[in-house]
Amino acid sequence: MLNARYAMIFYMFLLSPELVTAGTLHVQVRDQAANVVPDAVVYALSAGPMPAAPSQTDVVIDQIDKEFVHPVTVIRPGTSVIFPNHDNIRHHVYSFSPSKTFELPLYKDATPQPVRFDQPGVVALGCNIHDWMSAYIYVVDSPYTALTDAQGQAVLTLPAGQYVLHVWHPRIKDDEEDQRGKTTVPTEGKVGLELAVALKKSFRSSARATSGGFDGGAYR
Amino acid sequence: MRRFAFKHFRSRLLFYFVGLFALTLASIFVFVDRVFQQNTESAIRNELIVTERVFSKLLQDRSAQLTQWGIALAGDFAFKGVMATHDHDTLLSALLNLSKRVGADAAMLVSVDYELLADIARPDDKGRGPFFAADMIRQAEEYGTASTLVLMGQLPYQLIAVPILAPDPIAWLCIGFKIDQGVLNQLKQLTQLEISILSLGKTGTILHASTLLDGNKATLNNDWQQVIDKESFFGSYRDSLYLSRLVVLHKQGDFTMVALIQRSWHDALANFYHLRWLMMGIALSGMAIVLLVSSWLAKTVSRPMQILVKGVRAIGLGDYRYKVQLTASDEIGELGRAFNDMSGQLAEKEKIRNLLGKVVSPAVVNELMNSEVKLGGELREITALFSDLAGFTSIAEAMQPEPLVALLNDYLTQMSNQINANDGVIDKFIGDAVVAFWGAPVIEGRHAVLALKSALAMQHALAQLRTHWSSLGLPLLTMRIGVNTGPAVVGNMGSIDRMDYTMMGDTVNLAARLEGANKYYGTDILLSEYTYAQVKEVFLCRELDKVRVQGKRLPVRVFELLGEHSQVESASKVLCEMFAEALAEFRQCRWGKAESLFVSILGDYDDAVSRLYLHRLQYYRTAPPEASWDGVYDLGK
Repeated sequence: MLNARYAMIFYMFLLSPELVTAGTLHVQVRDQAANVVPDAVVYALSAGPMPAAPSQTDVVIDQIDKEFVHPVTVIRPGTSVIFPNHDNIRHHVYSFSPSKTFELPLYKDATPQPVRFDQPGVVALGCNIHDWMSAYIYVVDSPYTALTDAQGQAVLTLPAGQYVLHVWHPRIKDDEEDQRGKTTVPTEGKVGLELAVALKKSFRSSARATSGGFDGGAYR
Repeated sequence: MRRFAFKHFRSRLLFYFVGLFALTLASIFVFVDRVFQQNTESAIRNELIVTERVFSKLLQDRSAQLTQWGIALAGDFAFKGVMATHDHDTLLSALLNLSKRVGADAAMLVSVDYELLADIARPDDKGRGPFFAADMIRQAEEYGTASTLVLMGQLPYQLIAVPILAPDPIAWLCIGFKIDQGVLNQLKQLTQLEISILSLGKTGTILHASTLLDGNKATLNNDWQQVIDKESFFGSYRDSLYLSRLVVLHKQGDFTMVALIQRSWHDALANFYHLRWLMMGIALSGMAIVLLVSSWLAKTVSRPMQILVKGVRAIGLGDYRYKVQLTASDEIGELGRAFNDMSGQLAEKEKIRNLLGKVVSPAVVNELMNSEVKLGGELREITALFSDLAGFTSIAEAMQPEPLVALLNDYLTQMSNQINANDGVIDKFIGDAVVAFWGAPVIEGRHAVLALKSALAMQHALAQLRTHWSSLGLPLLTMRIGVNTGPAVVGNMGSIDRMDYTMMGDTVNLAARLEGANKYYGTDILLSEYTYAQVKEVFLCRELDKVRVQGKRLPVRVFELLGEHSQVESASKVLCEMFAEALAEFRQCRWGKAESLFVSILGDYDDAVSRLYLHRLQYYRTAPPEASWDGVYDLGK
């Protein structure tokens, strides 16, 4: 049943027979209602050897105007993330996710030490004093990752070869294994792929404190 | 079958008034009673519905409040931290801590995949079993929060579920509050209605909480399946009747939780009972007033009636002067006045009748009273009677007027009594003379007989008067009576202003003549042959003579009345026969024979008539009558 539900993966373009060093993969992500899905993580896994992670600099997830600047951030295991605070109030960043539980108690100007994420998986970030603040760090061991833009589109530059494409989104239904598509990337040129994902409702509070109280209080 | 009848008008009036009033009151009673009961019932039904709404609202509000509390509790950051530790004991302890903050009766932690993580009611149960109210969690996934009614340990709970967000849901916090006596009491305070919570399951009916008294609670375990579909119904518990409404609070499979809202029928009608007593009081006072008023009214009608009845009886007995005392100005007073007018007129009429009776004969009075009085007469066969006291004129001259009038009145009273007694009509008195007739104005076939009977009675009465008169030293007076029968004109005669009911004609004249002829014959009562023809069966009469009355061509035979056949002595009969024989000889001009017969009569009887004939016989001997003499004596001579 799940297969039927998620079997909306289909190819837009067939592969070109030419071999080139690299090609671009254009992925379009839509949900079950055919709406474009922004902020979706798209990553490719290959059967062949993949390049080791380069020594990455720290990734920054900033906090401005009582929001995390990046709702979704994709990193490779072993990457450290710093959480600067550009508001004039304090924040209390935390995660109770199994892959990484940490807490950066109330701070403002002094940016705490970077947090290193070793385990692959989803880390849901929150702020203890602002229930509506939410961000995700998606830790995945793949050099080929991208986030969809506002049009639900992501572009991956991949060496030619065969890949399995995965999609993740904060509201994705649990059957992660099915959220993928197989594709062969040509040596040159681009190939398109449309991936459909099933999303669920969010239960996270979207209520944002204002001077007058909460603006809304509904669940989005 | 005889119908019931009232003896008194007053009773009947009273009965109808009071009966009508009672009927009206009874109708009002029944109507008010019915309307009140209907209104009460409809009011109670409304109350039940309102209470149901209030109860639902109460639960909703409570649920909303619990949810708010739950959301507040679920936001506890430290608790989220505890969640991350996955240490069951710490988790349970923290959960207990949370539940105490809001005084929850139950608290559970449920994983996002509907597994029970911790339950303060079962601290030792560390296993991750499936949560029994997973449906509520699914509902919460849909709407953010959810609430339901559940039965835990035989007790009804309101259970709510809120997510623990970090910031995504990492678990569900469920907290529950018992629906116990306190909740129901709160509702009862608001609505004054009884409420009970029951659950109906496979094992039967369980009463969880109730505001009813313990005695009534026990009877609640009825078979609810029969009434569960009804909106509201009457039910009797012990001695009390309740109007009840069954509200299904929660239904899942065979399990149903209901609230039974009830209102005591008796309590609801308490006001009405009060009103009923009040109405009863008013009705009784009204009845008393109606009784008084109607009996007074009846009296005002029946008393005049009794007075009138008395008056009518008095009139019936001839008391025409009787007046009723009814002075009211209404119809009854009018009746009284009319009655008095009537009695006055009756008295007047009676007075006239009495007066007339003294002036004219009763028969004439009746004739006058009963028919139109007008001048005019008719030819009728009558018998006329004239009487006269012989020698009265000579004694009248010698007497003082007053004793004379007394004597005359005495005599005339006696005579008129006899005439009246024999149904005669006194025409007039002329001095001592009496004129009377029979056969008019009332037609009377026996007029001749009655006239002669009257004549005999008059003579008899005079005989008695004589003894009285002789004691007064008065001379013995004799009375002469002449009677004749024949046609005469009778009627009202005179002027239009002054008239007499009288008679006129030859018949009357002859009667007067005969009265005078008594002197000649020395007799008391003379009658004509016309009268004789009608009375000979009854009376013994002696033919005296055959006379020719002046102005008349035909002679008339004259008879002397001797008495009734049944009463006359045999001597009179003998005299009669002897005289008849002598008279026959005389008329045959056999003077000698006639003389000897008259002489022989005189030998036995002192008979004036026989002596008269001896004189007449002597005359004829010297001057014999003509050959054509028919024995008639000319009375005019």
